[in-house]
Amino acid sequence: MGITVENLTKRYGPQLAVNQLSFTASQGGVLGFLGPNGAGKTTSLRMIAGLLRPDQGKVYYGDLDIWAHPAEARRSIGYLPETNPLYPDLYVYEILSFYAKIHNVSGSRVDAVIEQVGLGQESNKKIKQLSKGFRQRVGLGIAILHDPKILILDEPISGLDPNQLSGIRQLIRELAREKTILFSSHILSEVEQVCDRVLIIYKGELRVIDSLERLQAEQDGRQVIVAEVDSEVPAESLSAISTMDYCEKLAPGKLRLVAHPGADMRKDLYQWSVQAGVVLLESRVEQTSVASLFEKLTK
Amino acid sequence: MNSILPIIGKDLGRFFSHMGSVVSLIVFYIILGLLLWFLPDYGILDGYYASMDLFFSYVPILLIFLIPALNMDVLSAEIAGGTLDLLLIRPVTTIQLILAKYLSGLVIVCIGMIPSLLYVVTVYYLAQPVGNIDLGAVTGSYLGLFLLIMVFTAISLFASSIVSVPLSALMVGMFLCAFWYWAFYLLSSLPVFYGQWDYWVQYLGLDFHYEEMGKGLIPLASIVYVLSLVYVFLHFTWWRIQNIRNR
Repeated sequence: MGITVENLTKRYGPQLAVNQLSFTASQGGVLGFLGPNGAGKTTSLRMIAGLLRPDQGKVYYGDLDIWAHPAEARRSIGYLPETNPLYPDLYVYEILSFYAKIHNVSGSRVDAVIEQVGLGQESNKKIKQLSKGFRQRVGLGIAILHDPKILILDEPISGLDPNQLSGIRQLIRELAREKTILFSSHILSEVEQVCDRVLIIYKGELRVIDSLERLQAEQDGRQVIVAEVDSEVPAESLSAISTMDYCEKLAPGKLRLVAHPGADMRKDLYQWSVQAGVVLLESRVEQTSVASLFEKLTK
Repeated sequence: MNSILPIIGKDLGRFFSHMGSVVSLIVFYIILGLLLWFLPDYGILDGYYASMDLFFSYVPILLIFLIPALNMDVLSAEIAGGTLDLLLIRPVTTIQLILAKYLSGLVIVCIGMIPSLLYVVTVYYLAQPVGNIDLGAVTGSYLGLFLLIMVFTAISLFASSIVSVPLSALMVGMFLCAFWYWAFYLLSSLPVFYGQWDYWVQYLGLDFHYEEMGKGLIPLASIVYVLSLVYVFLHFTWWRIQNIRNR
């Protein structure tokens, strides 16, 4: 079951929080939701989750219009809000059982989810006794408890330590085999590792949505090489590399060279080093990161 | 029903595992006990008859404080903490949610009233001869008390839905309970009503119907009046939650 969002618009007084947002997310993948603070990510996710009624536009889970058939839609969705609201006085097992009963889910499923999200040792603790990372796991457990076809995870990895991060990352990837997942995060490196596609939103408007590979390949179409040489190189000598557009000095002997659109600098760089009598200690083609794309699109 | 029972169970569990809630009930019985058994000249022991009238006249005043206190966070804390959002995206209708919250509030107060039966037993055995107490009137008064609790719980639930700070919910709840209990009686003494409309103005107040039932009568009109008030306040609460759902 995929998600189709059509012309989603939300206004708060004079402020346009989300403007004509449209996209589709197909089943079996993770769509990363990126944007700076206040870009409209959480507002969009809340509308897609059916928690906030849009001023305009529609959301479909498969063919189901979520505002026309809210009861059916609620059975299909699991949502982990950014604030991860939990009842602090309940025990981990108790809170999961509570939501399980509401969804008419068996107790064995609660046990399975507790193991799946790695809460086995914490299940007899109260929520208020848990660290933020474990609370996030409880929130994630609640979201997946009824085996929803669609998962909306708003900042699911905030507060996790590196070990927890890798476990949750793996879990999300496993869940993505069968489910449609919308994943919002500020940690761009995580988005690169977890998501298949990325959506960047800025000032409530969609800036780009594409697969990570294509975004990395297509950004400007320029090749970027980071090179390290054994000595200081005068800037004018680099002009001999005809395919190079410009060069940045990162550190003494360390350079970042950006090619003309569509050009390949590797051969020219090697020839230049031979002619200039410079020893090329290292050269590597830099992948265009989501971070640089994010910066570029949200300036 | 599948959605209502887990919510009731969760709220009851939270209530009775919370020291603060239990302390509220203990304080209620300490005050009531002092008023009934130790207040000089006005206590049960100073009366000429074995009667529970004094208990039934004090209890509504204390319930105006107790019921909003017990229910002040039943919805406000869910709204403020964001847990209401997690309930609203479950297969739970607004009516089911409100019924669950209302019934859990009602059960909590009714459980809280059980120890008061000890007073009935005490008066029953203190009577001369033993058992010389009008149990019909006591039963009628308890039924009246139950109807009063139904209204106060609905009012408190509504108060808890309109503000997200529990203390504010307590203040609003106490004001509305006190208003519906006394205001019409006080208004009836205004010159504009007195002598002609005062009976009907008093009729709009809860105390009028409560006293009627204390006489051992259960007028159908009083039951209809109480159920209508419960419906009105639950409907207001439904409207408020629907507003949150559709914001």
